[in-house]
Amino acid sequence: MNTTKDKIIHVFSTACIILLSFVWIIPLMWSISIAFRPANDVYKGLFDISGITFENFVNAWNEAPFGSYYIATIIIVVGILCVQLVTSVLAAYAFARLEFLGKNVLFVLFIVQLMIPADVLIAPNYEIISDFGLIDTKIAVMLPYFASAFSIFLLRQTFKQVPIEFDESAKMEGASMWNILTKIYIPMAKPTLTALTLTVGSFHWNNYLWPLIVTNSEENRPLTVGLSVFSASSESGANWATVTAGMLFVILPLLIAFIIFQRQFINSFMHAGLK
Amino acid sequence: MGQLQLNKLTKQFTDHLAVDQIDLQVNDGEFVVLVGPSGCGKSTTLRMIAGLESISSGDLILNGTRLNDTHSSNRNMAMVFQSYALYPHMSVFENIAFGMKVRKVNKNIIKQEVEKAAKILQLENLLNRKPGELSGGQKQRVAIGRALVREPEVFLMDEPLSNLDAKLRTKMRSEIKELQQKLKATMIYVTHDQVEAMTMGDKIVVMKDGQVQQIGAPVDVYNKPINRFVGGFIGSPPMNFTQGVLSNEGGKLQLMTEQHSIILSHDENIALQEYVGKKLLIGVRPEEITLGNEGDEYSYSFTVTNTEVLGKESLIFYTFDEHNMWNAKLFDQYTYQTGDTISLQLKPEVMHVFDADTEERLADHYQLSAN
Repeated sequence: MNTTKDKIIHVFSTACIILLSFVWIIPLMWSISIAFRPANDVYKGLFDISGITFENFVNAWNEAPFGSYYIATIIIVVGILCVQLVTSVLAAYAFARLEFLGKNVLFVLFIVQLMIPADVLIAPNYEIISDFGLIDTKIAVMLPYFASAFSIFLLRQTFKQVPIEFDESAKMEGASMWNILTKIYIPMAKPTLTALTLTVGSFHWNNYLWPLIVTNSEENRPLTVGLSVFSASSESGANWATVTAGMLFVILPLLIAFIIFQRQFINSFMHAGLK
Repeated sequence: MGQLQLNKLTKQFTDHLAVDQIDLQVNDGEFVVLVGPSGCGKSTTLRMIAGLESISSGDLILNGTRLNDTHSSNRNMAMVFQSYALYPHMSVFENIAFGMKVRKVNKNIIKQEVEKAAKILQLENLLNRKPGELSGGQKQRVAIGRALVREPEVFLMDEPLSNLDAKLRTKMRSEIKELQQKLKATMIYVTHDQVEAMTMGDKIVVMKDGQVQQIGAPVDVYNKPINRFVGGFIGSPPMNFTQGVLSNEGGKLQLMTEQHSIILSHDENIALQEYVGKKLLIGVRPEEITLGNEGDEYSYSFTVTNTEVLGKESLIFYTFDEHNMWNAKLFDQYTYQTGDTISLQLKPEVMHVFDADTEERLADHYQLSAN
């Protein structure tokens, strides 16, 4: 039964959600509208869309090497994803199913990493990357993220939910550990893997501080760093129309991906217990 | 099909002894049921046979070859698990074909074998479905199909019907038994359900606390339980027990219990005479108790505590004495109320006589029945 109290809570929470949506969407809509306006009309009303132009996008593309930033970002995100998923799957399986000396101690050490803020590690990571002579390379951006305590933890929990009889049945049928992992565990962990791919992918697409620190050259800079350099540069010279057009270059792929994969996005988070 | 031998098979876990020196011979084409309460070691025994659990000591021999150190995949055995262990992301076809695929069997042969198994198990129309779209019985058949295509020497089944409802369990029970007879398969079946054990097995192995209590044909185990545990475990409802001192009252052997003098024999020459003055344990199956008439020699009066009418049969629960609640399964419908007095007949020939201290069955010549 719906009591008056329930109704009030429902109305209040709906109002909060609508308010939050506005807080989120207004800056986005504003940026989009500015990006499509002639440079002189930037301050001409919040959502004035008279005189739509693509000039700002052409200018931004010509003034900064966004093509090169895209390539660097894609290489970095795909590289991190590929390596991190492989290392996480293997480590998670080991923690979930294999018996070895010091397993629990090692797992606790992994979990402790979850509690250390990533920014704290910037200095030591920089030192290591520098010692390896990898400063200003794409690999320098990727290396600290090749393994992730969060991904391992999440996958280990998922793998632990797979009934042990699946392993035993497969073993009796002659399946190797690799067979069991690839044919049973990985397909069964698909929702978690999708959720991880989306979170890790969007995190590294948007990652700014670490790539800023370890990259100097254009060809190794991802979009976020490129945009920051571009917005501060003399070419853009506080030309907000061009800067917002550049910003759309950065967020557009994620926005499109979200719109297309919205259902999978939400479902995978529900499945993986990440909601 | 294979002949399996367990010689003093033992499983010692760090903190407890799960299986204690089991000896068992499983003949070619035989259906052997390991039965016992939870924690008796039956599943551990099966897992040792399957190679999923290491053997602490003893020998496991299949067709003359010692298998203790052979990997589970090379033992040529197939197992059906309690949870079916069907991979939810694979279709029925893929589930059945899984083992052959990992062993890299030719695709045409895989198709042929899967279709053959599907035909036997009536799964032809379900091959493209996922396990989530199947009923419990169908899932069970897929699990059996997966074992079937392996063409194993021995089929191992770990409580495969325990997830099914009572009606389906009865149906699957006879299906599995029929299949085993059709294939002439050697099968080892684990269950805690004595009805399954009685109805399916050629041979049943009753276990308790990691030890074998009795091995034999179901009827033999039912007729001659080796001890109180087996008597109480095999048979439903369980056997009734009471203890008393044997006395000879003017040539009449009687068991003097707390409230009753149960007449056992008028024969002075009976071997049981040796036990006069000693304590004995008597067991009577509920289905062997009949309604009596007051005044009859073997009739005794009891107070009813509850009555359950099971269709054409009734289960009467009554107080035997202060320490023992008994029950009788009578053919027909009775509606006794709590507190009613009932006269029941306990004939000596239906009584099983056990030693009161060891709870072991006394030798045949001490028994009161014809056998």
